Amino acid sequence: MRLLPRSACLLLCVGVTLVSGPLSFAQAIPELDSPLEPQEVFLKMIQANTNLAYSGSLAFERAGQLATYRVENQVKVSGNQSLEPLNRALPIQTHSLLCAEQGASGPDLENLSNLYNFYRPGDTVVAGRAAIELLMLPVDANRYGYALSVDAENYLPLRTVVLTPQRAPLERYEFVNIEFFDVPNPEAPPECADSEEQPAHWLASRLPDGFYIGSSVYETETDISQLVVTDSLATVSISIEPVASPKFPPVTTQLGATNILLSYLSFQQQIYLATLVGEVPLESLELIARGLIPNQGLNQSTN
Amino acid sequence: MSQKEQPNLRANLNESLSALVDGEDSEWELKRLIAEFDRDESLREEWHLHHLTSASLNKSSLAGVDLSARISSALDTESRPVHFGSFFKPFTQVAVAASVAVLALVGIQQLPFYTQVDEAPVASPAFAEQTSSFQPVVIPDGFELPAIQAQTVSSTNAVQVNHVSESVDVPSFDKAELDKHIQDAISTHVENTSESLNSVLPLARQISVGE
Repeated sequence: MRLLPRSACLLLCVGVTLVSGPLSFAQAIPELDSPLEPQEVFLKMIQANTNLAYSGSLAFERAGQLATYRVENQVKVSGNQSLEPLNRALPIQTHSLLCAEQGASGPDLENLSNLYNFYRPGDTVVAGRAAIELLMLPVDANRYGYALSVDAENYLPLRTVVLTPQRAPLERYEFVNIEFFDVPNPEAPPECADSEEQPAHWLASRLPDGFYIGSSVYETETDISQLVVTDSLATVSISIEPVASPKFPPVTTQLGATNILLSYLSFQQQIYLATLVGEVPLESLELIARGLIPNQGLNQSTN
Repeated sequence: MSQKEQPNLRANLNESLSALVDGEDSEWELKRLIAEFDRDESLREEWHLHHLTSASLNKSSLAGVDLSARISSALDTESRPVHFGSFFKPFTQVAVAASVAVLALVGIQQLPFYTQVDEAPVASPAFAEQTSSFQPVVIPDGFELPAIQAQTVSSTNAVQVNHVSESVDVPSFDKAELDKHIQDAISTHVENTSESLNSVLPLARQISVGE
């Protein structure tokens, strides 16, 4: 039964979308089996990343290159996760999570909701498993977007496509097959020992909207200041070290979604090399680099 | 149009096409190209070729990525954030012109500050500090500059730190050492991001860099 002509329906949909804001876009899509809101899917996905044990094969594509890996994630069992390259003769890469940062909390969803529009376009199949599509599109050009396919049962992201602010794909990460294991008594990793860390001797005084300083550490042995800047999703790592003279030119380089920026600073007759790495547009790295200033009262010992 | 003029016209169109791929076309050139696209199939093929070349040079194209029909549709529907540089270009041009006018109005007494910054010799080799004190220019009522999409998280901007990258000249360097420096920086970054969106994605990124 048609109650309204097609053109009227179209106008109504456009009107509702414009009036109700971007989130109503997701509601315009036909209802899915899973009643979860996109933000709820996102939170379950973040939890799944740390709670699940699995193994499988995946493809990783960026900068015109395709790499395939065998992945083992046993963080909840042995504290380890490893990647074994399958199409190149490279050693297995292992990462151990021995302890968790004290007071570490989940992502700041309120902050993220102001920075990304969350959508659930529909369902799909990845690695032979039903998956929920989740789109996180940035509201500005300071960060990248994400097109995710999240396992409908376990909420692990089975496919991740990083998108530029203009929605162009930058890199793709996708499981080809995956097997999940039961973890009988999953326990949270022990909290890391409370070490006496000095704050970095440098500050990031200007940040793109929504970013904040996540950690600030000065490494006494190496005389390097380390800052981590994040919006709860995208992360930028900054290291600042004194150098006798510039050894490299101030370069920028891009590897898929990862941008790297080397910049030189001068303060009190001393040259510093700032190295910024992050999955954000280069313009965001440049903005952060331009706002690096000494942390007054702490930098005297470096000179 | 004479036969002799045709090659020149074609060359001009190709130049405009190349400029368009690089985002450097003027509005007038854009309109002319759109008109030509309608009637010249070879120009459309040229346009495609330019894009392929540009993509291969950038090595960042994933044009073939299967985003699924629904995601592609959603991406097409959802409005894109406009980059400051393009959206505000007309406003920034006005703002720059207004700023120049303001500087002229504010008076000659402000000039020494700018002269000092511009002409202060860099005390090579140590990139000595420029110790000029900052004197903010007062913007009169009625003039507004576009807001910068950034936040200030500290009030210690008065600290004199110079960003000297532009004056750094390293004629020769050890590329292997640079590669190692970047590799180390990425390894540190992996540690910082291992708990984020996808726990093994940072590892994949690190391995790809290590090749």
